[in-house]
Amino acid sequence: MKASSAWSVIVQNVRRNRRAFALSSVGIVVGVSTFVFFIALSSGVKERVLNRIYPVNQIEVEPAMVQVMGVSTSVLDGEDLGEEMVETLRGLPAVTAVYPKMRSRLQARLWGGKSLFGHALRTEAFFDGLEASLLAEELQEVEGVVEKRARAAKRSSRACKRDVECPLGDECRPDGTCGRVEYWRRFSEAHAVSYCDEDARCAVGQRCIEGRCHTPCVNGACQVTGDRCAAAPGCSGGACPAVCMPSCESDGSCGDGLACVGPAGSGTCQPIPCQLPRREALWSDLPADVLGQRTDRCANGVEPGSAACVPEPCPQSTTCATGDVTSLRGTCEPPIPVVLSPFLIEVFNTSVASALGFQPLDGVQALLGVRFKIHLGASYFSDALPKERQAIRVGEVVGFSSKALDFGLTVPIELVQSLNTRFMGREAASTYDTFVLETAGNEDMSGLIAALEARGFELSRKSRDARKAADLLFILTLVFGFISLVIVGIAAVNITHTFLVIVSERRYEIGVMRALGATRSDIRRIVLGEAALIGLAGGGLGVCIAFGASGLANWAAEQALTAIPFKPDDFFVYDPAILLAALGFSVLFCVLGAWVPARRASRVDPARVLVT
Amino acid sequence: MIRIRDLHKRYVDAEVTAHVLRGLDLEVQPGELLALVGKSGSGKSTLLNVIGGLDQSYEGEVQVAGVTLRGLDDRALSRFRHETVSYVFQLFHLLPHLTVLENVRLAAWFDEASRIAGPDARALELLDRVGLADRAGSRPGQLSGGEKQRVAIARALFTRPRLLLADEPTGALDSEHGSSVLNAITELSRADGLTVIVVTHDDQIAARCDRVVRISDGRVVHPGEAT
Ligand SMILES: Nc1ncnc2c1ncn2[C@@H]1O[C@H](COP(=O)(O)OP(=O)(O)OP(=O)(O)O)[C@@H](O)[C@H]1O
Ligand SMILES: [Mg+2]
Repeated sequence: MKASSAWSVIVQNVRRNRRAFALSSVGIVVGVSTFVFFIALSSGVKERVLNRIYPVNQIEVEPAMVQVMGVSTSVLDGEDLGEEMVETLRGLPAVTAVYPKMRSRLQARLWGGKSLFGHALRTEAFFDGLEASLLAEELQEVEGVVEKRARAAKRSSRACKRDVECPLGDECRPDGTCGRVEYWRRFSEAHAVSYCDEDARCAVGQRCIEGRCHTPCVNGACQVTGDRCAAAPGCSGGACPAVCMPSCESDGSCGDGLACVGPAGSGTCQPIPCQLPRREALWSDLPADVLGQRTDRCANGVEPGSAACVPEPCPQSTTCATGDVTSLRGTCEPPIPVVLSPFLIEVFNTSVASALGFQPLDGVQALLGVRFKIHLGASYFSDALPKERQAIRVGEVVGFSSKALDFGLTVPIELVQSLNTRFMGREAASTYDTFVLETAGNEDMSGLIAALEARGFELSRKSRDARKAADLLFILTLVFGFISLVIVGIAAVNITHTFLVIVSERRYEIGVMRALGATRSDIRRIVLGEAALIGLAGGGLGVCIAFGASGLANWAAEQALTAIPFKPDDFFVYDPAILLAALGFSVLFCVLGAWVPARRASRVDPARVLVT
Repeated sequence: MIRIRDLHKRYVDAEVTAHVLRGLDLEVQPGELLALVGKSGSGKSTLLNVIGGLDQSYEGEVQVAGVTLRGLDDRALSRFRHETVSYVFQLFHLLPHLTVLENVRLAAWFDEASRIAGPDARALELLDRVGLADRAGSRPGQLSGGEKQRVAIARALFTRPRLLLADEPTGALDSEHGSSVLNAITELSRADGLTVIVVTHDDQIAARCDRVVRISDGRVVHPGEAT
């Protein structure tokens, strides 16, 4: 029998018995839709919720704590947790990357949000420093960078030198064109500024000159390529030591807040000096107040300091950062880039906002770019440092990440290091608190975890929770997979029954076909073909129903979970392989179910059914 | 056309064994129109099943159109049924969900070698020859018994068989319809040079055949030794 003939017979037969087949394939439809729905849900939750916290190939470990006479102490000493430990961990088998984390060890408080909430929010601030590369991907995703770029690509890009030359909401990119502000870059491209009051507050090998840490030139040369020897900035008088500074041709080749200073061909990137206009500006978080004025030049080109000078604000996104709270003079600096935890927003929306009468926050866009003041060295809870050691900085929200500190500010690790060095000394900046370890693929982590435990580490709470959640999800997936398998299995029994009835109804017809030249295998193929077609149709319908149900579930989640702004829009991830597998299962079970009836059909004895 | 030597056929059930054909010999010439008669239960249908390749469990030697049926596998036997023999049954066995035309061209589904070119045209032509061209689009349920049997004859002739086996083709019809069906069989088979075996209880019909063969006690009874 030719395939085309078989196909037309199969279609004809399915159409003829559509009612019986529709009823008996209900189980298949239900089973397949259950299967697809839950597999898609669990991979969606894994990819869009759990992986945000810790992907399967990442774990975070911290020194294990032991109870000694009721007091818990760490197994590992502070000095064990420095750069050497990073190298040791990097050397462990299967580990491809190690990202150390460092907490700030100084008191700080923050206030701000007046423009957002109507009145300012004040709180103690805790810092957690981690490497930008660990967050970059997630920050871009949450910020919707891809969509931003797609939208920007539709407009012609405008050449620029400064942010003010670009349309509102755009910034002047390093490549000299205007583009949408991409806040995640501010985290990745932040450069630490090292303040100091003595050499001991600088990194090893650096010296404190005029309140900044600098690497001195050795015999008129610098070790870092691209650096050049120049007189230490801010230093006046004869005995200015030569220090290494990045070389430059123009302002554009320096970072934000730096100006290219010096004769052409031997310029270096140097901080731009500035001052705050009024004492109150130091404590204010209003945009107009934080900006400050450059003291190296005036907007109208007159000599700075003269009465005719029209002040020029700090360039680009920088603000005037003063050395300490006693002075109004400082340098133009980018704000401290801060990443917040979505959990913080949830807590804020569900309890803080209503208790204190703030507006609940809706989505990321409202908070991105919001600036606030950070008072370093002062605390609501404990004593402040001496006035000349306190400082006020501007912070800026640049993104959200599940890896961020739940209650606190997550900033680039270099920043925490330099803050710790400045406020607490070198010692404090050489000890990491936790380590995020990354392995190649979906490797089994248990061996690695055991090796880490032997070294005195344990999984951090978040990492442990993430693993527990992943295990639970895996078990749930198995359970639902099994349930849908049972449903499809029962459906297959139902299909067997239906086909047995149909084959017995059709025995004359089968006899006629046999008498006209149909082989046994032709008859079997027709019956199995009908079953496969039912499986395909039932499976396809099941997949469609799963799609519909997931749309409904997403909608319901949207309605019910309004207080959680960072939930994914879509909790479902449809892997084409899973869809194919579902269809394949559906066809397979139908064919298996029809196997016995097909056999029986092929054995119909035409002599017996046709002849009287 | 047909050569049968010493054919034995037993139906073996759980307890009972019925020895239906007991050393039957038969020869049929090409183009012959043969009437097969005998008492009810004498084994006429049984013999047709063996000749038509629907029943393979027998002893003896059966050759049809030069083909020895014993030992053919299902595929070869199906091909034999498709190409060489055709059947007309007492109860027509038209497929009720198909139209008359579709019923006639039913065997085209199993025409692997594409022997029948233009199956629809051929089916229409055959319907025309049995006088039912105008009913091509009807369902079998809308036809009378005689019309149904004529459709079944058209279906049987569709594959250009060399042998037509008709088991009491008029058994379910009144005499008027019966003779029209027999006319169709005789005319068409003569025109195509077909060999035909008709099982019948009707003496009038038997009389219109070239030869009458009677089965009794599982053998062919020759005219001389009539019971
Ligand atoms: N499948 C079977 N199993 C057992 N016995 C059978 C079977 N088919 C036929 N028989 C028996 O074989 C004998 C011959 O049957 P067969 O149908 O060939 O007779 P027949 O000559 O065609 O009769 P009728 O004129 O009534 O159609 C009968 O006694 C019948 O009971
Ligand atoms: Mg009979």
